[in-house]
Amino acid sequence: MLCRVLPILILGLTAMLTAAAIEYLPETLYFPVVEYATPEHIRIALYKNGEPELSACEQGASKVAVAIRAGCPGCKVVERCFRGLDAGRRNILSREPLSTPSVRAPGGKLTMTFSAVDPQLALGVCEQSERLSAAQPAGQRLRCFAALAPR
Amino acid sequence: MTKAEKFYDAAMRLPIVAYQLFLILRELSAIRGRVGLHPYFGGDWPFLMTISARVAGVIFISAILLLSISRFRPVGKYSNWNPKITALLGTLFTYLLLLTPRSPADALWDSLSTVLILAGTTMAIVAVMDLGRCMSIMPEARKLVTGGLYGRIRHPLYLAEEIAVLGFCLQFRTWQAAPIVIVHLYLQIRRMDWEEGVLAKAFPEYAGYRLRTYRLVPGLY
Repeated sequence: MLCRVLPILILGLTAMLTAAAIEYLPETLYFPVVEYATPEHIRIALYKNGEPELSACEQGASKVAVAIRAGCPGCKVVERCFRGLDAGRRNILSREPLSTPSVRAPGGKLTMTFSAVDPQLALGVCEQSERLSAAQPAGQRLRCFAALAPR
Repeated sequence: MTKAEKFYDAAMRLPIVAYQLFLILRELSAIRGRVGLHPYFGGDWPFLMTISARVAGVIFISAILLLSISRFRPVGKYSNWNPKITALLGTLFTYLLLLTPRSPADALWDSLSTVLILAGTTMAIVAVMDLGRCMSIMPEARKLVTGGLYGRIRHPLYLAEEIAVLGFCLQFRTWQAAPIVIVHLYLQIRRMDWEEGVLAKAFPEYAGYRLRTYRLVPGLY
């Protein structure tokens, strides 16, 4: 009897622990977020994958912020590290459609969202990001998703 | 059990338990990093398979760890160190795999790995339930078990372990994995030789049991 139930129990335990790992382990990680606003009032938020250590997260966020400041001296840049993901940030990193245009790198290493008073302007910047990354190696190319488009 | 025997027993368990605990913690940390690297949530099959393969690995090591903690004291064992070292290496050597670089995640390989590790874990638990607390890492005779899986083959626990090791290998698929597995298999065969030797000495009925059962794979070996 137990021999018949045991495989099901172990399979169930594996499924349960896998789900728990995916659901709860991100709460123990630090996620770098860099937000900036261009002089044209386009707000861009950049989300990177989680880091186990706060120092690694801060270092990652700072590296991105320095690069943005160098390329866009007029931009207002704020870099932060969040422990875990709230519902909004989790949604941004998920496959769910977003209310704003967004780009994502393969494997989810990087996600960016674009918002502006003129939605077409935000979409234009999103598409431009995709075009600019076309010259990069396949693993670093970005893909633009329009607002409310499946990702 | 004398104080010296108790000390020997604890000393033999301690490095194994410590090593397995280290590997479990290392694997858990790797799972944490993996989840952070892949921030998609839900519906991503390759990601789910990668995590479940790692989780299955942790379950297997934990099961072996727990099963090796409780056992009967032996009624017969080797006095020289060769069989003991072979047994210790046979148990621990394969886990060196976990310290080598893994191949990139792949849904198919990771799914197969999960299935094999879980099959190995299930079989190991069934074999240990047959053994009761007669399980040991070292080649020691505690009680002759010939029922359940042991009625068909003489070393179902080793077969279970090899099935799980094959599952682990599918996560690695690297040149470093091959020599580890070959040495591990050699050590396991030596271990079976030692075990059969000590059991044959301790239990006269073992000769008959050996004649009517296969060693590892029914009908083949």
